[in-house]
Amino acid sequence: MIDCRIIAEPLDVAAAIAAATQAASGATAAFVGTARNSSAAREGAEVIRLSYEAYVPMAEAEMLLIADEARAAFDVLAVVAHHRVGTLGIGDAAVVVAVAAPHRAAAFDACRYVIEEVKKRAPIWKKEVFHDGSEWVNARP
Amino acid sequence: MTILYFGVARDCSGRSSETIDCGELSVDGLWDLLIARHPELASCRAIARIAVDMRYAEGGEIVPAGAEVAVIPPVAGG
Repeated sequence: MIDCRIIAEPLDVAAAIAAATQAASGATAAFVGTARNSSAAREGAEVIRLSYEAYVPMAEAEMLLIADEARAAFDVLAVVAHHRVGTLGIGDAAVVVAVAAPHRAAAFDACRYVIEEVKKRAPIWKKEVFHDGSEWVNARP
Repeated sequence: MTILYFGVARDCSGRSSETIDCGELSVDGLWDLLIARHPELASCRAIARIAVDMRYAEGGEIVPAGAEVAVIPPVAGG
């Protein structure tokens, strides 16, 4: 089972975990990425909200490819990956990855693999908003 | 040919998308054309990648006339 989507409303982390869990899985590993108040782009500045955007069809295709790679590399039964787009408050979930497997080692390893690859490859962008302006993360040469 | 601009590339071009009337050309040639239309995109060239019909394309590769092109700055998801 694979469910990889870009979602424009608040993520339901519990539902993602429940969706991953299978009758044959003894382990479900989950990762949640949340918006934090310190800046990747501007040292010392307070981030008051985050804005995420995506090239949606390519991001979903890339997430599906990553999930397929995880299923090929690890003994897992289900991969759920939901990434939010839109404006997030500090503490809001930006991404949830939930992987179910018969055993926990594969669940942990595949979950890590999926989030690492999504962060490296998916066409998704994050803008940090400060009190006095905003800046795209990773955009400076 | 449809051009989609994301992230900082949208700030530089001033728009999220446009349609341009041109025949097939190389990725390098497309960058030259886009920068001629929107000079601020020059600062993106060194850091952004081009995707053609949702696959990354480089330098000398040919962009077909009716393709959907995306200007993709360094990604920052997760």
